[in-house]
Amino acid sequence: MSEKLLEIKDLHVHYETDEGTARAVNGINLELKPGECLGLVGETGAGKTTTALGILRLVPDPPGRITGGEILFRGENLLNKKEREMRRIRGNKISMIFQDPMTSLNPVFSVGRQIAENVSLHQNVSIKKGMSRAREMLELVEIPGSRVHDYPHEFSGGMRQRVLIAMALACNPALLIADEPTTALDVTIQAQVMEIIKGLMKQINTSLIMITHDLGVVAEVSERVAVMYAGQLVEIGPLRDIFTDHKHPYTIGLFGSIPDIDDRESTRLTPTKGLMPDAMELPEGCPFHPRCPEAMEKCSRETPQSVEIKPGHFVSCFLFS
Amino acid sequence: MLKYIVKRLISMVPVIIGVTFVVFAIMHFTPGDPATLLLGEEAPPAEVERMRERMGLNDPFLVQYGNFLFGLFRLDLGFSLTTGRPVFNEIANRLPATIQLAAAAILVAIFIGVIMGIIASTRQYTVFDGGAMFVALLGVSMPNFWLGLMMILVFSVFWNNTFGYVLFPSSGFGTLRHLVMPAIVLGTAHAAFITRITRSSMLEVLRQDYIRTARSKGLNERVVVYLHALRNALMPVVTMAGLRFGVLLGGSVVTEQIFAIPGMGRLLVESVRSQNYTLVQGIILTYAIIFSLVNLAVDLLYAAIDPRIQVQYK
Repeated sequence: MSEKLLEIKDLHVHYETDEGTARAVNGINLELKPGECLGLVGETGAGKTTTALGILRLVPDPPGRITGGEILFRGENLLNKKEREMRRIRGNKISMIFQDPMTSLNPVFSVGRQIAENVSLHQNVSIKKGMSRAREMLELVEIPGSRVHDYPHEFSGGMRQRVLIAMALACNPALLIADEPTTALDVTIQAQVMEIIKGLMKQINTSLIMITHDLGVVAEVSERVAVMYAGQLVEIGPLRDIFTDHKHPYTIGLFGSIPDIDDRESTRLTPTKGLMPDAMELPEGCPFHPRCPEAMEKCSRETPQSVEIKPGHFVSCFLFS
Repeated sequence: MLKYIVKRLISMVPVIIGVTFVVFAIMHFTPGDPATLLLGEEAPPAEVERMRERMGLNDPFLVQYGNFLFGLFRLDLGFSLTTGRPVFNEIANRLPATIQLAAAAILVAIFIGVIMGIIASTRQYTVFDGGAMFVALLGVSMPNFWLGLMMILVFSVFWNNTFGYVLFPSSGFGTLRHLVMPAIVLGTAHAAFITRITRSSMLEVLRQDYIRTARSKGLNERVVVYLHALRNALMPVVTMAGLRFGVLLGGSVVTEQIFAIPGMGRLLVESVRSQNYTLVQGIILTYAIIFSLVNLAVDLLYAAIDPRIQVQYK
């Protein structure tokens, strides 16, 4: 048990609004070992970000509420922690990088001050001491330390994302959650940021949950991949398995929508038909059944359990049970 | 930054000269003869004519205006027609009380307004939010004279009857204790504006991504709200506070009357009523200068709050 850094058991997160309840995350099970990189992929609205916010207990409440499950971090359930204890974990042991670097830094404080704030908070040192750590962290993400007193508006998008990475890693967290860190950046800057994340992960031996809908990003950093659909994990397994031997009809559809460079003759992609269901009106049974080419009568009645088809490769589909 | 301030101060000059021209023109073409006013209705016409000549009232309009401007540069605003004292002195006597009162009142307004605005915004749609908004509404709709009289009744009259001394004096000016009640009366009236604008501005800022970032760092909610959010939300609050401060500096006739404060509001009303045109000119000129300075101060505060604005002040 102790070798698991993070274990999520049957996590449910709901958003309760006047129009109804949006079931964003429905019974997710996930494990992460120290130093491991997990890619969490899925379409927009699949519940990836909600899962991440759930781990930090930052789901906006109201309307969001964690309605069930356990999140064990080093064996302790984060959902039972007091808010004060949670604050000591956030930014210290578990850090998060957000999607949009342009809006994720506070415009009225210098970047150094924002990094130093994190350090001084968790390591009980003065802001001044934190500033020297901030300088160090900036150098680590290849920003000159002399820019520590500059403000966010004086940096480009890629640099701001690196500042956010520096901020997230300033306290050497055991777990970093990166929520689509490259989505808002252009391709060359994406590569740069990915390089930095990869390099730093090795250097400080942090676990990573890389949330993305970009399979290229996943292939680059992850050792394992989890595929999420309508608030559930449909398939999870080692990177190679998921890329070359995916089993779940949804995963097959997902890879069917990537152009194949060896087969330029067929110009059409084969995406999955239909749209992801509204989280307010999830279908009965397997949430994918209305779009699934392999759907059986059973699929609309019962929810499939996760089945291990190969060591470490799990699929939630009746085709395999 | 210094260059910017100097630039702004210089650009105030044409604005103020423009104001003097408009005011001078309005007073000049208003019916009524200052010489007659000064000497009384029964004065012999020859006497009045001599007075007109002495005051320069027979000169062409532009010559009169030129003389006025010329005097202005020597801080000579002429003499009050009712008391005969220099206008400059009349204003200098009244201005300190008004500035002190306005400053105290705006501090009260900002203190109440910002705190209630934050409470309302962080607990949106709860009892606290509704309560803060109700108090704000009460503040604007309650007449100044009523609140003033009630406070006098409680803190001066009842207090004296019960405890044998006056907690806050009901009239006069000079000490901090004199300032308390009028500042609260004026402050509550203006706090409502600041409450509303703080609330809406905070609601906007609290939705921003960087607030989520701040929370994800493990900062406690108080630091998130009062440090990370408030500073970003302050811009419209400062604008509103500056405007309100300008209004307060114009003096409050009612409050000054109730608490017997020798302020600018009463001076202006009295001088308009008695067609004391030199004094009216002087007072309005003073207002123009004060408004320009307050505007400049607000712009400088923007730069102090938000580094992005400093870039523009080159």
